[in-house]
Amino acid sequence: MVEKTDRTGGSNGARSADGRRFEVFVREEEADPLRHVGTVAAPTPDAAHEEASKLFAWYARDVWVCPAEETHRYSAESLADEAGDDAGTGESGDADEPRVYEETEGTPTVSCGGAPAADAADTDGAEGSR
Amino acid sequence: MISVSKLLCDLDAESDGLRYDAADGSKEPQITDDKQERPVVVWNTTKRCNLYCEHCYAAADQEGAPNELSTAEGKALIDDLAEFGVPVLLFSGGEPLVREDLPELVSHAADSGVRPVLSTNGTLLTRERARELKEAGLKYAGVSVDGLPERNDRIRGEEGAFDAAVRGIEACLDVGLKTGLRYTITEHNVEDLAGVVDLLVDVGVDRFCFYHLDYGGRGADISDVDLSPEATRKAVTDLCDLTREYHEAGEEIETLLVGNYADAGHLVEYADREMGTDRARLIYRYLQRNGGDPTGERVADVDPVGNVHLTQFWQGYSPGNVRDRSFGAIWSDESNPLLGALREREDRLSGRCADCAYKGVCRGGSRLRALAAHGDPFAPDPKCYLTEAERDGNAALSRIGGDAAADAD
Repeated sequence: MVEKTDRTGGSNGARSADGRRFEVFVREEEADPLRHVGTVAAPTPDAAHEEASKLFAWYARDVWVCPAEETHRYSAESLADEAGDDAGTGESGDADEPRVYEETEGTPTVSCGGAPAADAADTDGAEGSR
Repeated sequence: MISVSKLLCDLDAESDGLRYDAADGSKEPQITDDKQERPVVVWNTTKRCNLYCEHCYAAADQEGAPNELSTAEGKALIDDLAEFGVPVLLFSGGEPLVREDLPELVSHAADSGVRPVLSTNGTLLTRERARELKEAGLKYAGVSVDGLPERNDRIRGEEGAFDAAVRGIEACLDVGLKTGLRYTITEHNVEDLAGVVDLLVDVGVDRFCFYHLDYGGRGADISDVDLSPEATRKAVTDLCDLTREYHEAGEEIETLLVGNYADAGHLVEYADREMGTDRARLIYRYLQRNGGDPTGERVADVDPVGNVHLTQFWQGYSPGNVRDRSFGAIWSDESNPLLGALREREDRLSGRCADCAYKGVCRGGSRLRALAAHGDPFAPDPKCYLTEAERDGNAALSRIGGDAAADAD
């Protein structure tokens, strides 16, 4: 007898860092299975459908959008056994965190309008303008 | 990411192997000797930030997102990335320094063979924290500054942010942690660009990354202050001139452009005009190896709650979440219609991109800006600033001719 898969619901919880998200499922042709194609951020189901239509549901017969927070996920695998035990930074951050660090590291050694000089060193390999 | 200093001034850098498959020709020790087949991954470790920048693609705020990846999940993610062969992990945010476990995560990446680098606003970087991160294995800290003090502080939403960021840069340099500038160019700060380079060279910075605005997060809200194509062309030309002037004066600064692969065509045209057709031909061949816009291929993003994104700027769509499937399984799943289409985008690009002579080295530029402007991820990038003659191949490419042009096919 085949042993049943042991799945848990441990990967539930909020799935968005930027407002409401929808899980998107697409069926290309009537005989096809529904296929999960990711999530989109959108305020309403209609907006989610519109966004999905722009991205990939060009010719799909059916598009289903399901609120990500209403989707209950059960899996035999989880990202980490301890998932959720130590909640990263979460939203429990220290509200007293200084918005600019005031430690006495001194003031910058230059002022505006400086001329070329000195040298240093480099590298990364990725990017992100924030 | 295009290295202006490499292409115009032959400056070696240890990331040449990543960017141009040019490790063989570099004297610098390389991040990788192999052609890049796996993406550089940006991990937005938290949504929380102590600043509130007008252009933040992550829409960071004082509160973190609920259910952000824990320390254990972060380590498991890093294991997953290492197993998949990701060469570089960029710890980003929000402001990653608000995570107290950052050194632990950096150390885990370094031990796993994934090169850890950092994107920070710099304002929380003390000498002590910089030293701790360096000892954990951090290889590089990119610090965001978006203008001289007055403009920077207005853009970043906090008086004193400029001075604090410069203190952070100095702290890194004091402990021997490599550091550089990140600067997003808009109408609000384009006039400060050269002044910031001058000022930070004095501090000891020699690496400068300039970002075109992409239309994600709060960046989409300020697209009206993005540079016009004409102003973008001038800003990039000025940066090319500035880079060459520094090098001619013996200051070997590294300058890079990010987020608009019209720059690739422009650099070829600039070199042909200012430095001769042989240099333009050489640059064109480097850019062919660079591969054009990396969306969905050579760059990826994981947001604070584990959603994978096609670039860090494109947070509105995710092909999957690392809490459900491994990063490698998500990234390799070309049954995803958008991932698959992006990876064969040359066949899908429309409008002026479809027949552009620079399509092979640009690949249409930002697909996110195309989506924002036209509602179609394969429409033209509204920020392309090449002239019609350049796009038609009637300018530099007509002189480069033969080999280089044929190689593009």
